[in-house]
This record gives sequence, C-alpha cells and structure tokens, in this order.
Amino acid sequence: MRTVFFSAPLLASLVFANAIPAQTVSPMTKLDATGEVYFAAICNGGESVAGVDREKGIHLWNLATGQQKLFKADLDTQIDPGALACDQKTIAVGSTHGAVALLDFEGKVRKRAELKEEITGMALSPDGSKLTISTANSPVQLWDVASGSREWSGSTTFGNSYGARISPDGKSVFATDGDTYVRAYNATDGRLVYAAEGDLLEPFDVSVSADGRTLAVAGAGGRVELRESASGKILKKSSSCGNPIFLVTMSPAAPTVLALILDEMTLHPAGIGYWNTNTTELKQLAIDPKTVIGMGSDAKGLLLVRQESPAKLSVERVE
Amino acid sequence: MEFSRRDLLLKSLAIGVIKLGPRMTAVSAVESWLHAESGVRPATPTDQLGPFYRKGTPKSEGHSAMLRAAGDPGLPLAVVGAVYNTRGAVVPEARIEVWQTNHHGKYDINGYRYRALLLASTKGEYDFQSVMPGHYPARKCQHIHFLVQAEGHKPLVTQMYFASDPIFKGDPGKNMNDDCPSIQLVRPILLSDQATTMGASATFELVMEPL
Repeated sequence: MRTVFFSAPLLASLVFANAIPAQTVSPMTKLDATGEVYFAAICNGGESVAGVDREKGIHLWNLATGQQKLFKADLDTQIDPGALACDQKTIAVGSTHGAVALLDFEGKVRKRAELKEEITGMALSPDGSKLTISTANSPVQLWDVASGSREWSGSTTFGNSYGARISPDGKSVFATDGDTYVRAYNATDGRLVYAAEGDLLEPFDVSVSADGRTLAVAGAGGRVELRESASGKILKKSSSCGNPIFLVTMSPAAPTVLALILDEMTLHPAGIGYWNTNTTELKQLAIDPKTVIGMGSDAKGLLLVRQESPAKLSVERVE
Repeated sequence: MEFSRRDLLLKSLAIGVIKLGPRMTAVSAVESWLHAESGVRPATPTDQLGPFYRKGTPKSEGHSAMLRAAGDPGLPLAVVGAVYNTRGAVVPEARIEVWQTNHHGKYDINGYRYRALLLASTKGEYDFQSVMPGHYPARKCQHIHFLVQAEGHKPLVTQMYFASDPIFKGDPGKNMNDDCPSIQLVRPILLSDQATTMGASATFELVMEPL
C-alpha cells in the first residue's frame, strides 16, 4: 500500500463511537524528538524505540534514559511506514525507491542494497541475524544481515507479500500475501511449508506469539484471526471492525492483540483495535488513532508509541 | 553518414512526412512503430495489487462484462483491449480480473460491484462497460486494477490510468504523479455521443511476459 500515513497530531478531538474504555492506556516514558517522527518501532524487547522523520532522519531512543540519537542513512526517498525494523544492535530502513540500509546503534551504515522496488515492510529475527523485506510488487525476501545479501525469495500465485515475521526460534518465516494466502517458509532454505487459505480480502500483517505456536493475522477484512503457526489453521476469529487492519502486534505476556485500523477511503488511522483472544469482540481503544505512530511489545505486554506534539513522543502501555 | 531506422522516423516526423495522432509524442510514436515492425512488445509495467483485491469474483460470460447497472452515477466508460505477450503473439483465453471504485471513489469490499472476471477470446480480445472510476483520498489518480493470468506466462498485476484525470493537468507527459508508476499505463480517452448520453472509451492492451 503506497499511501498509509501516520501521525497528524493534535487535530480536533474526535468522537470514538465504538471506543470502549475497558482497557487502560498509561504513559510509560516521554521522549523528546528533533523532527516530526511519523513512524516508530519498538526495539529489543522494549529497551529502545527507533523512528523515522520527514527529513529522512532516523532516531533512536534509549527508553531507560530517554537519550536520543539522530542518524542519516542518505536514502534517496522517504521511508514507508512499516519499512523500519530494529533489534538490539541493528536498525533496518527501506525507501520508497527500493534502497535498503542497515545501521548500527551508532548510526554507521553497515550494509546497503538496492532493490529497485518500493520497500513496504521489514522485520528482524529475534537474534538480529536475518531480515525479511516486503516490497510493493514481489513476494517476501529473506536477507542475511551480516553479509547484506538476499538468501531467498518466497512465491505467490500473483501479487506481493505485505507483512512478514520470523519465528522466535528463527526457523520459520510467515508472510501475508496479496493473493490472500498466509504462507510459511523454512527460514534456512526458503522451502514453502504451507500456503493457508484466508479471507476473501487481502491479509496485511502477521505477528507471532512469544512461544511461536500461534499467529495473529489481519487485513482488509477488518477482523483478526488467531492461527496455528505449524499449519496455518484458523483457531479463532475476532469480530470485524468494518475497516482494513494494517498492523497487528501480539502480546508476549497475555492472549491479547493490538491492531491498527485504517479508514477504508483515506487509509489513515481510524482506530486502535484491542482483542483478547479469549473473547470474540474486537474493541477499540479510547485514544485518538491519528496520534499513534507505532506499536510493539515488551516482556510485560503491549506498547503504543504516540506523538503528543511534533517534538514529543509518548510510549504507553496498554493493559 | 548512415541513419538508423529510428533516426529516419524521427527525421520524417520533424519534416512533417509523418503526422502524430493526438496525445502522441515523437519518441513514443517512433518506439511504437519500431515495436510494431519488429513484432515484439514491451511488457506492460506492473503496479500494486492492493489493498482492495477480493477473490471469488463471479465469472462473466465470454470476454465481455457489464460492470455498471442502470442508473449508476458517473461517466459511462467502455474499455477494450487484447492480451499479447512480449514476443508479439496473441495470448488466447487469458483470465482477466478487473476491479475499480464506483463514481464516488468507493470499492465494494463486501460484494462484487465494479468487479469482473473475464476470459479473453481466442484472439485475445476483451472488453467491459463501466463508469469512470472516482477519486478517493488515499490515491490521487483514477485507476482500474487488472490481474491477468495465462498458462505459460507470468501473472500480470497492473493498473490503467486516464489521460483525462485532472491530476495530469491535461498533459500526462509533463505532469506525471508518483501515484502512477509509468506513463505507459496512462490511456487517452475518446468521448462520444451515444444514443442517450455521453460516453468515454479507452483501449488498454495487456502484454505478458512468457515464463
């Protein structure tokens, strides 16, 4: 999707007709930002946050100290929301024109690559050795971080892969594909393990549980599915929010999922969904979704990164 | 001094021996001429599939489809074309899925309005009747999605754009927009008076890459 925009902060207050304040969203840390950060990712189990700004600057905050570092990767064009990933030592970014840069935590660009295709998504393996790359027109690719080279490409019947994640043990890659399938690959050699049929509409993102046994999958159909990661079989489904879901994050600590809901016409954030997988109801958090620029988790649970103002971010816990 | 075929055609254009049709540039006309002579065709540029593809579109009868219903708002639009491969051969009976917004810029994600699945004829031809797609805020350009599949060929995922779109300010050659990946996907439209109403038509040839 080429036109998903995050962050139009401090707009007029919105009324969230479906918002149910059963969950609490409580601030953990405030972060100072130099530059308008429009997308952020939680790194390394919640120790750091990385973000990208409109000037193609790459920000890294230590959550314990609030210290910010600002880097430039000299990318040719803007970074798509989603084309940012980080772990304990690497930040990966991809541009709308296909440039990929892997930076260390001091801002040094360790590897560069040119894919000639818009980079739409990235995810690092838990040990930081492998990187999935999703592009606008092709199936998922797995890259080796140390060498900066592609190891294999997946396959689809047609169309591209949207979301992709690597399992906690690093052995499997899961991808949500435009041809509506959820695919699992052997991470070592790219062998297709299964292609599981999904909804009639496209799935946009996948998240893997901490034990690697289940997947949360969501997309244009507006509901979140819980699937068995070994087979792709659907175990449970949430109710539908009626709008596309662009990102999902599973909590490592509880059977809960956060979902970024987009407006069907504008593809701008329209809600933040919250699903306790022991129920069927996909609730919406009582917060302004336009302020949300990132989602993730730490060992204790689900986290949001919100933009309070162009110069101030807030990392918040959802409970 | 020897002139190449391309040079001679450009020179012929410059002195008026060859006249350009409307909306053609000298370079594109010469390239089209050379491709026609050589029999090869450049592959249709690919474009994004999503985010509103919906599988299970009911199959239309034959190679034609009617997407608009009586009374639907919007400028009636007829799209005709044929499917070829890059070797210049007709690709018969390709499976063509098309989908677009209605006049108001809204996709039907619960059903199959403004969606069709056609089977190209044995001569590769297809056609459908629709309305000019609307604008929606997430995309700047009016467009129609195509997914073309045929045995022995790489699936083609692309989109068709319209030279009449206000985003191009009357000249797509000069005013291309990032929302449209290639001018080769922008088609001129022909307006014509039909029995009771004005209608637009456009041609969109689809060129697939053999496997």
